[in-house]
Amino acid sequence: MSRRILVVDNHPVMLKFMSELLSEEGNHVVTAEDGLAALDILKDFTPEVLFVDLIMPHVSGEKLCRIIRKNPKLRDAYVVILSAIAADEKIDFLAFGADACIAKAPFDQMRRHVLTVLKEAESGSRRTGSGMTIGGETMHPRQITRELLTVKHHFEVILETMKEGVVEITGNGRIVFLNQTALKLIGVPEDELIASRLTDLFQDSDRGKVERLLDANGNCHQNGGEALELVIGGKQASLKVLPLGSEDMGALVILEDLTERKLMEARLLRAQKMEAIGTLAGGIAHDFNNILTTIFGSISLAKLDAGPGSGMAERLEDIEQASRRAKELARQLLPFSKGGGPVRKRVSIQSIIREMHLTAQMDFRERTVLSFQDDLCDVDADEFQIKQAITHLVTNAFQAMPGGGKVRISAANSIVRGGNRLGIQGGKYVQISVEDQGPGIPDEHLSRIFDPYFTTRSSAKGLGLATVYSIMENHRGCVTVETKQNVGTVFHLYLPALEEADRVSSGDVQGAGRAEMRILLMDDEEMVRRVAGSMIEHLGYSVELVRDGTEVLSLYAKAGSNGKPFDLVILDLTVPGGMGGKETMEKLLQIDPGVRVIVSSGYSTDPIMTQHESWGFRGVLEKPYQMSELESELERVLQR
Amino acid sequence: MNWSNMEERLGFSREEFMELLEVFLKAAEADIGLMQAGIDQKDHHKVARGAHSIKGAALNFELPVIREIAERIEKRANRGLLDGAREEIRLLCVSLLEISSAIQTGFTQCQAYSCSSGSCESVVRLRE
Repeated sequence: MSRRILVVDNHPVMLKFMSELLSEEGNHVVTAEDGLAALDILKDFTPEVLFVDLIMPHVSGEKLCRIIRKNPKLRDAYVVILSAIAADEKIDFLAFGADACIAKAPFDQMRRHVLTVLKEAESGSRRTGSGMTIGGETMHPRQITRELLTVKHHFEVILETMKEGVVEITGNGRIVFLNQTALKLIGVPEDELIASRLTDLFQDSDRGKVERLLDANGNCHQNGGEALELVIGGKQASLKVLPLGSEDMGALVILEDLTERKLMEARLLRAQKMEAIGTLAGGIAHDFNNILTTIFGSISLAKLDAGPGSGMAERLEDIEQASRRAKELARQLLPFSKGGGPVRKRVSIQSIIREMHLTAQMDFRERTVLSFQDDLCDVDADEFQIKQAITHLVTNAFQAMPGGGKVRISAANSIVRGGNRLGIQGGKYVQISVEDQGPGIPDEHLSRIFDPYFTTRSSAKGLGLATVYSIMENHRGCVTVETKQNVGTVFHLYLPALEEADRVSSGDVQGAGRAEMRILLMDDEEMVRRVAGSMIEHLGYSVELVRDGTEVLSLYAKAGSNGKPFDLVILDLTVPGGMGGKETMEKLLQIDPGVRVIVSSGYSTDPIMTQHESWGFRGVLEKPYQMSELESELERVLQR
Repeated sequence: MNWSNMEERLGFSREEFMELLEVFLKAAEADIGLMQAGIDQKDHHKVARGAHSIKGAALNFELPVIREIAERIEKRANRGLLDGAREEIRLLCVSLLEISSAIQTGFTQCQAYSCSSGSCESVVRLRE
């Protein structure tokens, strides 16, 4: 019976022996010198029986069998393994899809076994064997081969557990081996990759770089130890080529997934940029807010003098309005400033978003869809900054859809595992998502959208998303983005969740007792002293004004010993050339552990401002402050 | 050893056996060239590859002397050891030359098929 037979063996003697033996029996025999050549032949030739050497260069017999079994045309072919190591190692040839295994032996035995197997193939008894190797019983295990097999297994384990992807290519750039890391990185099944060209794995822009490592014949060149950076399987990766001796022997290609490293580098670069802006923003916060404190205070007092409804009062109202805008502008820069986090309190994200929604313009309200998880956790956050972050995202979302479309805002509890890609600690978070139906963010912009001053709109400053990023960092949270071309973009904000309710009760200090209450105010700026002093007096309290900490200590001690102690002290945090708020506080606590002190500064993100209670302060006043804010904080601290 | 017994035992006609041996010798010549290049370039992989190829064919032809030498070279080369490899290759060449001469002289006796003491060195000493 004539059959189509393919013999794959890397030794010419075996190919000649098998070819002649099988041809004599009337079969149509084709030979291949290795697995790669066999795969090429199998494109046009469909054998009924295959004899495959187990150990071959390039593609091994085992791998070839697995690929054959995935080929629908060859699923019923009878595959026979020819093995020289059958006596030393039990070969589970059934597991990788072969039907029989013949141990390599002297020609007379080989001939007998080959013909026996061929008869079995003709009788259609494939895959009914016991898994025993034919001829294996007459061979004796050899110590040398066993040692070599141990070494082979050792290297295989190392290769499969390496964190780098290893791809072996032939001299003309065809893939013959990939370890598990390489398969995972490339994301294509092994049987599709074996025998394919390495250069086909890359997109056009990177293919040229890889081709330059290979000459016109596809031979590999040393790339000087330099790693190429390119995209493979949709991931950023580095590629290094290590030739295996001479050029025609092929090469090992080492691939490394750079996704994590690139994320870390981008995070570091962004942090450096933010630090530079923080230095600038911090300076503005201090000087600008001191000036505004004076302006606000003076306006409040001038309005009292002008009387309600007068022309002067209207102009003062305009000035106050403009000053408020100046204050907001300065405050927008504060998330960038160095030195600490936001001024936190327990807030409900649902309440914040609903309030923002209610106060938004009608057309925005109609185009916004809200959804919240029922048992949404509160967060420990700066309400102003969170509103600022959400506002930036919602504004961007609307701007991405000039032709209309819905913006979806949702919030839900989210558990983030430790060691996550977000760069935040594991734990429970509140995830706020703002989703648009815009055109999506182009790939080339995606890595830069959080950079300060990066914008694609001529009218924008490019600080919106940078501010969002900075706010989230300062809250020990993060912002992430998902975008799909012509589908839309969704930004996710992650804020650490609070589990237990811990609400602070509040009450009013009645104006009736204020006159008896004595307040000591310290500030190095004369204008601030004068205006703030007037505001305190207007609220009905008695006030003494001093310029630095030394004067505070002296006056506070003297007042105590005279039986007229101060009920409250307001300390400016920063006093250039003098004793500032922090040191004064430490010394005041030594004099009077029960002293009530409010800290005041334009550096609202200074750690002392954000965690003032840790330093012994009872309250905090951010400059610039208005009459109502001053009154509220004085009442709150004095009633404690 | 009697060559005609051998070809008969392995199931070949004289002509077939000669052809196969010639293929073997030609492949072995290339394998030895590969091993020598490997030694020159200090590339133990090349040496192991050449030795492995010769070892496999020696098994088919029942050439225990050649198989043992090739196996020793392969084992050491796989461990990165190339010292003594040149001498071992010289032993291989002697045995292969023996087969080559036997083909030319009409297959009478060939010591490559036997080894009185079981050691390949003794084969060389016998010839020397």
